[in-house]
Amino acid sequence: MENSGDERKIEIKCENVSKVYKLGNSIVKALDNVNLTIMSGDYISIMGPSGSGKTTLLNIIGALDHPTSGRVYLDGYDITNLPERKLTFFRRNKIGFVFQAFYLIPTLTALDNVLTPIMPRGVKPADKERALMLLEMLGLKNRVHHKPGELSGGERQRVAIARALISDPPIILGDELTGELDSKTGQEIMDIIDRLNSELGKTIVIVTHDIKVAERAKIKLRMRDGRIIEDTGF
Amino acid sequence: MLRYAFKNAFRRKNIAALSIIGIAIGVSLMTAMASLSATITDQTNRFAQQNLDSITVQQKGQLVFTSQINLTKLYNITVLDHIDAYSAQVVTVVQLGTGFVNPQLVGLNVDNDTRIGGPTSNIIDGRVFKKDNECIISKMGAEFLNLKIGENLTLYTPDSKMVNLTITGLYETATIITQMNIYTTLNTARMFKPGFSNDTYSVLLIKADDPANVKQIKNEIERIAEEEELNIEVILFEDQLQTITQYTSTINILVISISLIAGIAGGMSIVVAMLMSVIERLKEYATLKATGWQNTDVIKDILYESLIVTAVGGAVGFGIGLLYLGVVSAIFNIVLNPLQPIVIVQIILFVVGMGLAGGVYPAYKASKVSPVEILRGV
Ligand SMILES: Nc1ncnc2c1ncn2[C@@H]1O[C@H](COP(=O)(O)OP(=O)(O)O)[C@@H](O)[C@H]1O
Ligand SMILES: [Mg+2]
Repeated sequence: MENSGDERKIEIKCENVSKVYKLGNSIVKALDNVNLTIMSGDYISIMGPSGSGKTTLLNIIGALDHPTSGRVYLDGYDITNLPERKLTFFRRNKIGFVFQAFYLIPTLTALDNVLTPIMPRGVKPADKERALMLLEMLGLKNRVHHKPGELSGGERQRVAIARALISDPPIILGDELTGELDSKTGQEIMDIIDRLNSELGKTIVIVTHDIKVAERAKIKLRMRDGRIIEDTGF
Repeated sequence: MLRYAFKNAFRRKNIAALSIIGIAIGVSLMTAMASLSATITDQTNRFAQQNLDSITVQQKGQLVFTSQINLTKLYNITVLDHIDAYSAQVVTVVQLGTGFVNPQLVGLNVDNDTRIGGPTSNIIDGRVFKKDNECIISKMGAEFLNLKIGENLTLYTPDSKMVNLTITGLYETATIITQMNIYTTLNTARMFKPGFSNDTYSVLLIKADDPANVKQIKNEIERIAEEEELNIEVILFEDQLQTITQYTSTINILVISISLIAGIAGGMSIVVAMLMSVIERLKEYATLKATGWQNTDVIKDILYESLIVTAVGGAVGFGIGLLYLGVVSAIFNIVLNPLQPIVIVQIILFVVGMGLAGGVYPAYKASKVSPVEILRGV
């Protein structure tokens, strides 16, 4: 973040981003004036207690949600007020989401689950090959035709990672992606995330409240009450 | 995309089964009703074509089996121009067996009846009756009553005399309407008509040389009736046809309403099924949207799923409908008209319409899912 002489391009930028929820009479400031610049190839973790605004921030930079105020830029485009239809374009091409609860489709095989993001536009043989390649890369060569019910938690999360990679997006966002895994499996998943950054050059932003997970990142941020309070980047 | 829909259309087996059953019932009814109504309409039309040249003379204000006419007095009518042939009949209603069926017993002169193209000219099995203790019935009637040629029909006259008639032959007519008649000699029929002399008949059937002349003949008969003070009325087939047409259009309305009700029921079942399936899977649609599906992709998927379910229901229903028809035609031994292409097109439109209509609301609902809202509540 502080490498100002950096030649890499800016992947994500938040300017004074706030998100306010109104619940009856009370107001919840989920995000409070967040400023954040993420360069291409960055590996960032955001740690903070539950309710500190991590998911809200991730959803906003992931083109899933709009801020109440401030501006959000993705790959140089101002996506702050884009309509849903246009946001989908960014989600499909720029972002790969990995969730805590995997969210795989139980009726589909691992292979088909990986292909779901591109199914609406038709799955070509090359796509299928890519999906198989990704599954193999993630150590699921023998699990291609298994359904999620037949897979372990770690395997499911690996399928979800392959799904996030199917469109070859530059950015991977992970929300508590080890939250439902035991610590050993969690570390294995984090090994994969490390490789996505170091070998494939993906920009990674992960949100967690697990310090061991957060420490994997090159840039470690902390959040509290909707603000980024510590910037330990180097 | 279709593949995705296929994999997910039958996820909840019982819900899918329910809507398939709903649609199948609708479509099977449509299939069967359409064929039955086509058959009835067709038979009526054929019957009409064959009878447009026929004229019935009977006693004024009476029904066929209460009417009495005196043939000698009608002599001037029978020699009118443009009359090809005529046949006088004695018509009565008899009870058979338990009284469950009440067919008409019709006495006629075979030569005259053959000339006007009556049932004696349409014997398909056996021969026409020759003696007073013989009769003919229709092929359908024989099957219905489970009787064969050579077997006896037992009837009772109004004064409780038992009359046994041997079946000598089977006739066939174009329409169901006359299938239940029993034809025999005039003598035998008169046994059921106390007070009928040898010159008394129920009706006089006249065949014109051309359907175009029936109006003119009717006018002539009415003129003679007035001059000679005959207590008769003339009924043209055309007049009867209206009643028959009303009857068939009633049937058609019935068919349409049954189809409509079935359609609404089927449509509701698919809406409910899809809605349940979609609500269960909101998280999945949220995930799909988060990973790049557009609202229209979600809508398409649900419409496809709905169409797949209705198509299966439609196919099953069509099969069941054909089965009904097979059973009906086997039991009643009637040849049913095959389904016209238009009916099949109607069924397809109906199924597609139901699939789309049933899927629209659930699809709209799923497309409005906000990934953030849904995925937040882990
Ligand atoms: N849709 C919402 N409606 C109301 N409050 C919300 C909504 N989403 C998040 N919040 C609130 O915003 C704050 C931040 O939430 P979140 O970003 O999920 O935190 P974290 O992911 O760090 O646990 C919390 O107080 C949460 O209750
Ligand atoms: Mg969270």
